[in-house]
Amino acid sequence: MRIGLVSPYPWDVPGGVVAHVRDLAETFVADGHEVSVITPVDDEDAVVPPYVVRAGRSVPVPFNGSVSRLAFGPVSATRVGRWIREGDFDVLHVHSPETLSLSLLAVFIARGPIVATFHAANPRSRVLAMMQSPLQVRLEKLSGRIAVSPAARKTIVEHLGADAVLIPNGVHVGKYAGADPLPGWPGTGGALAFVGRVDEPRKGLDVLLDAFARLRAERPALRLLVAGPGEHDDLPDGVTALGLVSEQDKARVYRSADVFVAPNTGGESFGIVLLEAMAAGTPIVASDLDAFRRVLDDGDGGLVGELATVGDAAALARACASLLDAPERRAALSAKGRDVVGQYDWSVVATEVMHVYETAIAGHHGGHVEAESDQAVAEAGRQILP
Amino acid sequence: MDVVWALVAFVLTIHAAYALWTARRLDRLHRRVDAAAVALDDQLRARAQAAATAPKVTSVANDALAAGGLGRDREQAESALSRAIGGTDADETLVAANARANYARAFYNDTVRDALVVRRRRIVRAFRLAGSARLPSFFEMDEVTPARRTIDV
Repeated sequence: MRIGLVSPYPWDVPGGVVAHVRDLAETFVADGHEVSVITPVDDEDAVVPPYVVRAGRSVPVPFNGSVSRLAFGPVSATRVGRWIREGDFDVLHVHSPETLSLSLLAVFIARGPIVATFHAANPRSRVLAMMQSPLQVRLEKLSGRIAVSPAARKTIVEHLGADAVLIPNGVHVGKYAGADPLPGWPGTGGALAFVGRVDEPRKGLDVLLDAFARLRAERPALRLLVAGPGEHDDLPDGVTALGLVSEQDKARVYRSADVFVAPNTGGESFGIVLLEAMAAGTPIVASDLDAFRRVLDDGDGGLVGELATVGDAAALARACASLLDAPERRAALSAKGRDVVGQYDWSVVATEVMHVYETAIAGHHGGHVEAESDQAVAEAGRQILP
Repeated sequence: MDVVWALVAFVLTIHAAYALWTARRLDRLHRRVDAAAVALDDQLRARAQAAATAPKVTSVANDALAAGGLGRDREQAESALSRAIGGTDADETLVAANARANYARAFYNDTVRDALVVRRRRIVRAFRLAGSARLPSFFEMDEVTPARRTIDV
């Protein structure tokens, strides 16, 4: 099958949606499909995989409580139009078309079997509320709508009056399960790990640092491994910050800790880090967020890990301590995590996405994805300017 | 007096333009509902064919194949087939066909919902913009997801 994927966010800036698009593309490539991804790329010198087509640079736009880098306008419109014409795709799959982005642009420009995945969960988005009616009309074009989580689904039901089928995010389980710990980790004094932007308050590193100080009062040898981009001024003793790490090293970070901690304070639609930790077999302590609770559900009324009240450093410290002091419970959670995460492996998730493609294509009687006229493409480029 | 007429003409023009735009949108939506209905019919048929070879499901699958259209009879026959599939050890082909049927139903109901929202508008009812197109209706059916698929780690 010839598959065209559209990513709204720049390929060379790490993020959940970009990782999702990359993993999906690579899973389909490995299955023998022809895949092309059109995406903004900010750094002209950035090395990108052969299936990536550059749509130019992006501009920063505040969205969903943080700054998103998006691309649109006449130049992007022309490139998307050409990409669709030359690609001759059986199906077009756009990601997060609810943002003013390349994805929405592609929906304006393309005709035929179009599938969209909605990633964001933002209960009160002024941008979405404002855009509601014009967006609604455009998104009626979609043959199939996918939400990665119940929270993402709720967002589009409330803002766009549209429904979507649930297909969760995926994880390459084998990559994490087979990774080696970093040299010297986890060691004997206890080790925690955190993965995420260090300067993004919603990721909750400051809550974790507070909890870490409390834990260290009784466990002086305890260490904390932090992996993720961003600057942080005062990291205390016992904290090792790796900065932005490669995909391979990220897998090793999970394997380097006795307990993985996700102290996020909100704004999470899914919680991919929890899946990665489960795949690595690392026991989890996480904030008590709806999205996290759902991912940690073991299907038998239990949880794969410990939950702590959101933003409460004392509760987070207690939850970490309860696992650090109980090796047998950690072993049990590790086994349970690996059992639960099997349903999220990309091989399983991508099969479901493929079923959605097949259904969308069937609805168009084998018709391919086509681009609207040059005039319509140019108009789309102008319309979508902010 | 001229001012009043100009105003009336202006308001009428706006209304006419909006009515025309809505009529074209509704026409697109009706065509999408029709396409989704064909896709749903195809996928349900493919599922019944895949199920017909499975032991213990054959007769229910044949009932589903015999029921045409997307009315009440079909809904009941397909629901019965869903339940039968849920109670059997479905092979990979049937699991895939069942998933596609479920997605086709979800997407069909999505387009129906999109169309109904516009059909309920006052301007559509007042000017009969829907023409002779019948009111689309949802396809209600019991769904199953046989054996939670997973991999071994």
